[in-house]
Amino acid sequence: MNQPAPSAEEIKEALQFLDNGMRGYYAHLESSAAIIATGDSVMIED
Amino acid sequence: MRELGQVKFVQIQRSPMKIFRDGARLYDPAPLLRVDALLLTPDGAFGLMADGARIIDVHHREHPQTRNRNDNPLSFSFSSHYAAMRQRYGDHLREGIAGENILIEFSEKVRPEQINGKIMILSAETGQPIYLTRVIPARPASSSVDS
Repeated sequence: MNQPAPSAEEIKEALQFLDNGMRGYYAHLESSAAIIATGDSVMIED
Repeated sequence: MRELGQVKFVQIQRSPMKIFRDGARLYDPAPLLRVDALLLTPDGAFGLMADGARIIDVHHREHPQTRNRNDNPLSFSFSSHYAAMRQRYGDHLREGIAGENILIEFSEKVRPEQINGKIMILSAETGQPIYLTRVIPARPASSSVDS
């Protein structure tokens, strides 16, 4: 059975919730190649 | 620099996850594959398997069905973000289901201004610092063709 379509307000709230990094991040590698795996540490600037 | 968390797992997306079936647009996570390691390049990622296999990610520029838009060769997210999404939308939102290459274990939401365009990953195996730059928030996927 099909669910009713979300309202414009529901869509707006969902997009706002998922924005600003909640949906994750895109990135580029600065060097030519690198290998990462589980357990590697992730750092950010203070 | 300060440690934010550790890589919980790495994965690739072998083909697009948004498909059309019987006239409907569906999201099928079957192309996701957790891998033993991730080879990062400026053009995108390859999954590395213990048996020596190397599998290209769909956001790599050279993938035959590439979803590379120039701004998204690599991607990452946080366990805390998935916890928040599960709380709001339900338990089906398992970690990594949106297709990020790197899932980082962390207990709090990470805002763009904290990342400030750059993260560093310190390889546990080699001690090599790996810089990911030009970091931008992924857009909500409803209207994009990046998955």
